Amino acid sequence: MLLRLRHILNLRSSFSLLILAGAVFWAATGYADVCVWRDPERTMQKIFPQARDYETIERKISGEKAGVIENRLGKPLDPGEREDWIFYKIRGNKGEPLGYVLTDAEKGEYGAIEIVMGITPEGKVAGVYIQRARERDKEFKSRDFLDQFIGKTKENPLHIGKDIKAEGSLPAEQVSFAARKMLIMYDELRKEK
Amino acid sequence: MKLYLLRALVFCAVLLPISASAGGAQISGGADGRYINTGGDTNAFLLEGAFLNARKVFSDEQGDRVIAVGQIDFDDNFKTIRPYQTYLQYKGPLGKWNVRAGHYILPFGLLSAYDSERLLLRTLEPLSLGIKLDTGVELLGFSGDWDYAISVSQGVGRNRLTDVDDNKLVTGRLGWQGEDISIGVSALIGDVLLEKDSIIREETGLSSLYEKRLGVDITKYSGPLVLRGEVVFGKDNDKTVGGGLLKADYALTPKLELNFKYAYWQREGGRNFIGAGFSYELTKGLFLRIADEYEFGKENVNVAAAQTYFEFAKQF
Repeated sequence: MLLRLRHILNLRSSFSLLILAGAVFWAATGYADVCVWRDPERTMQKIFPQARDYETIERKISGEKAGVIENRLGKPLDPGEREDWIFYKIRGNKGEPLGYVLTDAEKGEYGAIEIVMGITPEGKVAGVYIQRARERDKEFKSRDFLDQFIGKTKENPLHIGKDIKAEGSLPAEQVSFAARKMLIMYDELRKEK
Repeated sequence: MKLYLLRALVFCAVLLPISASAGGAQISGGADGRYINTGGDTNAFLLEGAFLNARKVFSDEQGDRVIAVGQIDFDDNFKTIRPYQTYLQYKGPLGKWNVRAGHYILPFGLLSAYDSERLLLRTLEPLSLGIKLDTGVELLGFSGDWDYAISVSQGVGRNRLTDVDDNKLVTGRLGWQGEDISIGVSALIGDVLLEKDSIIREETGLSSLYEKRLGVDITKYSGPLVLRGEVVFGKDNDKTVGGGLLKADYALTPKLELNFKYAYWQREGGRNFIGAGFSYELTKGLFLRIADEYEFGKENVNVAAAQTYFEFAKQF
């Protein structure tokens, strides 16, 4: 058996190429964001100071469900968002659910704007943080701007100039869009299995 | 250990996160093809590396508890198959403490949060440490704005999984994280078994060293500009060594980034490296990078390189 194993694993090039070809084919059939949420626990604790732990939850998105979400959002989802959605269930000291944390990345003028948002079990925004952004504009990172989202729900339009005050820069628009997207995703996917 | 058994072990380790439980795993991977011109007259086309990574989180009724990561790298035109980060991590409540066991990147300096393995302008560790991945046990976590990591490992490097010399290496980092800045202080002490292709081994002719290092690293985000700096000094056996690195990445557009590097390292004579290049995202996950790096001081060598880099990730 060892000889056979040795033979198999010594077919280095063909075996390796086969794996790579399989990976490329697999990659071509779908794409999730290659996005690492840096320091997730720190941000969770900022949004939910009583947080004791969290659980990663993944929801698969059917084509039909993606269509419903896009319809509500009024814009197509990014390629990496059409197949699945990951969010985090936050628990308190006795294991009770405190809320959920969701993440999103939207395109800014100088790269991705990575946004983290907390939602209470009742579906209200508990807090919004910018994890990483390389924009020149600074207004969209200010607490004055971000705290306007607290308490908002899926019923709010979250439009700059309507229920959110800002100068209307691209990053501020993108943060508002991301907040609306995450509320709709949460509403559509929290009970999906 | 027999090579074929090592490969079997690596494949099993990578497959563990996938096979241990249905659903909720992520597979990612990539390929790194390069054209390299050295000194104006030596040309090489090669598949520098390709990799497959699997990650799986196991949860209990309180939350995420165990994270399994496995990665296999196919390097140098598939001539080398070796494990990259492959470990099991037990996560304490909210990740304030974690215990990691396996094959992982050592917590020293910029390495702890910035892996330049697949970039053309690299960080200092091939010269300053001679070791990047090692097999051992690590305690890591955070408290408020502070984070910490301490590792005890075998000091045998990325190509070996077993402790062939019974020596140990201790590495640690204490960091502070502000809104747009992070600063860290690191230390490393112990025996390091140098790889066959190690720059330090090439310079010193030694196959192992007793290393002592102290380092300070800083990462600063300022709009489109990201600055990374590192100063490292210490001893190789009884010889004093030291140097530093400054890297700057400037985003011109969401897809185009300019990259600059200056590094200095003093061991057997001072070596200076100055480099510049750019990275352009052709389409989602596919990058074209071109860079030129000139070494002067002990030797004068120019290396120009072009790279296509592809990466993907998939949940299942």
